[in-house]
Amino acid sequence: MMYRWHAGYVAWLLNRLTGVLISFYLVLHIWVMHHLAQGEEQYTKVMEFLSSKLFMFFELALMGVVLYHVMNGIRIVLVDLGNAVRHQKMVFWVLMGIGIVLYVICAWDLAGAFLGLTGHEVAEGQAALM
Amino acid sequence: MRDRGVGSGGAVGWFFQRLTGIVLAPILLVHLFTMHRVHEHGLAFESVTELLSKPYWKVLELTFLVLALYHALNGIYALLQDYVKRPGVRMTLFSLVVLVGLVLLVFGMVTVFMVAKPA
Repeated sequence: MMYRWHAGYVAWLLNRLTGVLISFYLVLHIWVMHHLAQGEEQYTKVMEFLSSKLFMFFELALMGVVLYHVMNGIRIVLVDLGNAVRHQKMVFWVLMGIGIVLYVICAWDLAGAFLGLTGHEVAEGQAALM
Repeated sequence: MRDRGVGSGGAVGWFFQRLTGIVLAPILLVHLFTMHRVHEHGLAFESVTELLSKPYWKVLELTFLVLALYHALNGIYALLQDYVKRPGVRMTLFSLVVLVGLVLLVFGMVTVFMVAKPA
């Protein structure tokens, strides 16, 4: 099933692709996180495995995939449930711009954490920020 | 009157896909931001456990899980509808996907419920 290539078609296609990719990730994530219920040793082992530099690229890619899906999703909501259909193209590119800015911020932080450049001074247990 | 068949013709799924998406976006934001705060050199067991033993956080994660699974399954259903034309094959495939989704739900719920702050 194909249609003529244009921005809207590509946007939709990418949304579908990123959605499927995120679904695969969700399976992996739930699998990894269930080790939390298996005790400290199991969990720490899994986390150490995932802290290797190879996974930095995986997480950077994931961040991009998720951000695209969220930003395009916002466009879809604005168009479907709002009135943005008249300015759809502009809305899309503005959201992509915001997405890119967010990506740079997150990627910077992610890479820093993996490469040991940023020292998070959050003491253990201080996660109770809410 | 001609038989109109069952279901909403996709309207309910269409709407809830957008609704769950809208709710998921801020939850995702909170989730990522909080994990960032808990992070030291890889999410340490103690910090994550401390957070996840709080009831309000369990509720948030469970909500996240349920909504994300709904959103994902609904999306996959739309995908199957476009590419698998024969209803028998489509529904079989979707049943398998739903099964996987249920397994994931159980896994996730067990994890969230079982985490407790060590004495």
